[in-house]
Amino acid sequence: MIRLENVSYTYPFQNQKALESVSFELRPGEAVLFTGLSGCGKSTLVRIINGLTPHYYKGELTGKVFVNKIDNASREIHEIAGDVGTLFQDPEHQFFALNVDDELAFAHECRGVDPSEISATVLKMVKRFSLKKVIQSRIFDLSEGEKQKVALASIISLKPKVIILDEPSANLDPEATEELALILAELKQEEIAIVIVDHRLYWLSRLIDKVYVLKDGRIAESGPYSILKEDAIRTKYGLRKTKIASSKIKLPDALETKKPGFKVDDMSFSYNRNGQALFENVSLRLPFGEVIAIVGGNGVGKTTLAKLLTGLLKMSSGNIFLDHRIIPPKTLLKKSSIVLQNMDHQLYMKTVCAELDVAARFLFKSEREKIAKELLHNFSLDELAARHPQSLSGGQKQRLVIACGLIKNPDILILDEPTSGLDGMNMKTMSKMMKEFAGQGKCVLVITHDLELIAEACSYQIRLPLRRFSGSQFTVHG
Amino acid sequence: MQELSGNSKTTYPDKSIRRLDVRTKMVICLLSSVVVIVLKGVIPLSFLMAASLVYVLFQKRFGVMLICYGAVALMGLMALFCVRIMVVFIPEMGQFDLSMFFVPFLRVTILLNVILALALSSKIQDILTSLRSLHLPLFIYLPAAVMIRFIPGFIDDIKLINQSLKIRGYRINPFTLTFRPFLTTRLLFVPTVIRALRASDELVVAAELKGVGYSERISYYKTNRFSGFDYFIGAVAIVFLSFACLLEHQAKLFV
Amino acid sequence: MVQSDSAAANSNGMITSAHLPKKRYWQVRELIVIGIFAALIKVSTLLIAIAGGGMNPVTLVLKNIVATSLLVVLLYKVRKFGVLTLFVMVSSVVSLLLMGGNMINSGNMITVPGLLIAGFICDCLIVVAGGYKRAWSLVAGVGLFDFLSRAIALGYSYLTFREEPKLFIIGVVIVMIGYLGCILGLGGGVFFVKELKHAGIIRE
Repeated sequence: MIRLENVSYTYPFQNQKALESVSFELRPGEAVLFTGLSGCGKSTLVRIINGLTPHYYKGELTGKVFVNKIDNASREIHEIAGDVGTLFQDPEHQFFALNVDDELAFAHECRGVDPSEISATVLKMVKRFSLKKVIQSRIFDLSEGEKQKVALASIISLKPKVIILDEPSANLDPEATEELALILAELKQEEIAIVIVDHRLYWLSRLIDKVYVLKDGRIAESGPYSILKEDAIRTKYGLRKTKIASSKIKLPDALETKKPGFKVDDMSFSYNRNGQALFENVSLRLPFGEVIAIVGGNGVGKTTLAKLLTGLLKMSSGNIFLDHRIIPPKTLLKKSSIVLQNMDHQLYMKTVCAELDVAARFLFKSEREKIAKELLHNFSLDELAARHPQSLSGGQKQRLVIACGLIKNPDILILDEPTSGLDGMNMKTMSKMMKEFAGQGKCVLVITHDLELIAEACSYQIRLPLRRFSGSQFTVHG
Repeated sequence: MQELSGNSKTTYPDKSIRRLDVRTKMVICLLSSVVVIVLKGVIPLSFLMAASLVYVLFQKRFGVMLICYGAVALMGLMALFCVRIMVVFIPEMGQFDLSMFFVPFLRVTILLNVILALALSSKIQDILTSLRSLHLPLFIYLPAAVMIRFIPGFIDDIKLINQSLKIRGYRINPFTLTFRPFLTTRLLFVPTVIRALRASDELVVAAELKGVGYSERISYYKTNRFSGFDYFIGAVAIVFLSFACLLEHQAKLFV
Repeated sequence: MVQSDSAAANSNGMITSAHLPKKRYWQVRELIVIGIFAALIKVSTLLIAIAGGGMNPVTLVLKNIVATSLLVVLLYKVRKFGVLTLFVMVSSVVSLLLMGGNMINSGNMITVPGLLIAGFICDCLIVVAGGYKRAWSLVAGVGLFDFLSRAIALGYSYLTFREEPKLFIIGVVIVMIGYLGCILGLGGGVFFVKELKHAGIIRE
């Protein structure tokens, strides 16, 4: 179904090859995994298979790429797309419509398919992917797992022979990841070839037939899934674990600690006056010196909780205490920092230096320069000081945004999915950074689905929906 | 299983104006825009104002309507104030006569009513179906569909950026926009524009991979259809507008 | 499945090369960029107007700076004859569907034909002034487009307020203040394009 023969590729204006002498074969009904450190060439490989390279991204490609026994060089992207469906990490970026059913129909409409055929196809996909409850929903109201199902349904409806999934588990919680694995297993049985590019490995053990580990654009290791179980290989290539202890997190609840820190008492909040309360008379503790995982399914209020704890949103009732004194929202805002998942929303200026300068504008000039220099060094951004923030890589942007968050020396640092799409090595670096900051007597909260990060870095959890303590009993709220 | 019927407007339980097809409301807007420009008489314009007020009141969105009227009234008062000042300093411009403002005020109010009736009843997620109903060629349909798709997305992006700025200690409000316009605009819009450019690249890739734009024709699987109610309201609108024109003509004959 | 059109997808939903039409003038990439920028300009101008106040002269200027800058960036991304005309068409269609037209900026439905003609004239100007590859001809085209679109809106405004010309004069003053923003936006757009090139987001 797919055959690459000695493929090498160089991006435009680059000297170094992004891929070098890559050869492999994939048959119908087989599933392969490509993994490796960030920048090893996984995404480039995806683009080569689906024809984006070189038709869209240009550059220099040598070797042969066959999909469905036809040379990609002899076909346009949309012709290759007849055989290959691609699902990217953030499926929302592939959506053309606002509603689920419109999205499922869109590609067919643009291909001039008969309306009655389109209706039948949409209904079929809705049934197959259990999208009945959300068929009339807006795409913005869907959970990440639901968005991914819609995107996958949209692709499958076009009847490809190959499906490529680029970091499919990055934004999913453990339950949604398991569901995805089941769907892919069904597709395998239908003789669809599956190519998966991912850092997270644990969910693929029963799915993958062959693994390719890439390094610096070359296939460094290949074999069955079991090769990933060897510690030596995982350490050598900075890979994540193949097994996690349990999908149920077993950390002590932050509510139960007596350590000094922030104390939240009787917090209530709801978005609408008449609507159901998201939090009702709940209490929390945020101990200093600890990294606390905020966990829970989609839509339970993890980001809302983060906003309440930083003063971005006002509680309907309740207070946050520090040393028995109430901290008002405005003061909380000054004492906290949130690093959101999307870095592009948090970078504003023309250079890295200017970005730090603006973040530190409340400090005296001399202090500002000193702290900025320190942070640039600590986060390995010295050489990038004059670069435009938007020209940085994903990891560099993340470090810059975190540096901007730390510049005001917050007492609470909240990170929203900081390791989504990160390889094992970078995940450990992030974990180390969080523990070091917490070690300075601060409170670090991390909203995450990443079980490995939780196991690596966190000592407490806040599980949503939150439990309300009334007397001697806990009752579940929500 | 919800039927994917041909007529797929968001259904409203009551028999209100909101059931009307958006094309009907657009035609009413168009005809009103033309007629109010032509009419000059107070009586025909007052008649149309009353009719348009009833039309928009059927939306039952009184709060939003009050806010819009309030905003227009405020702008009107400011305009009046400016005219008053102008007359004081430039007497050659003539006297300040409040009665001369009545006809323009009526025109603006009629237009406001018909536009509100359309705007308040249109949900953005239903607009794509309305767009399909226009049967436009791909080179208009595709960018229009993308525009509809991204309007709510960009609003959400700006909300998120605003929150990030709050954390950094920046506030976006009329004060900061007025006294630090360039920095405030930069902080708010540079990330938005960059997100937009990245979104366009990603969507182009998605379009290529879905084979969008390579077929000679596009089909429309879900479109709106005119109902009896559309024809009825359309007829009523035409009758009212014609009657207003008749009143104008009669007034001219008697003058 | 009955195939009613030979250029549509076959029964498997695949487009084969036998079915491909001749190359279109507008590429999908260009159409998507136009749609996204139309959305961005609409949202930006509305939000600035709401956040800063509709009659606030500073936000009036700011709104036009942002809109014009974005228009310059759009022309930089899509350098093809007809881009302004198509942009007007797309914006107008969606504005009409959403709000029956935009009463604040460009009059309403009646002004749409005028705006389309204005867009076409400006596209022609760009061609005459040196083509879409030259930065200053793009700037001239956008500058003239802003001017003509405001002139058309003022024309409609005159018809609305003809009984009391003083109101029309106020409209002219407001539009002139706004046009100052357009002039600044032309320069802002050029600088912004440079910054985007520096950021690696726009490439030649």
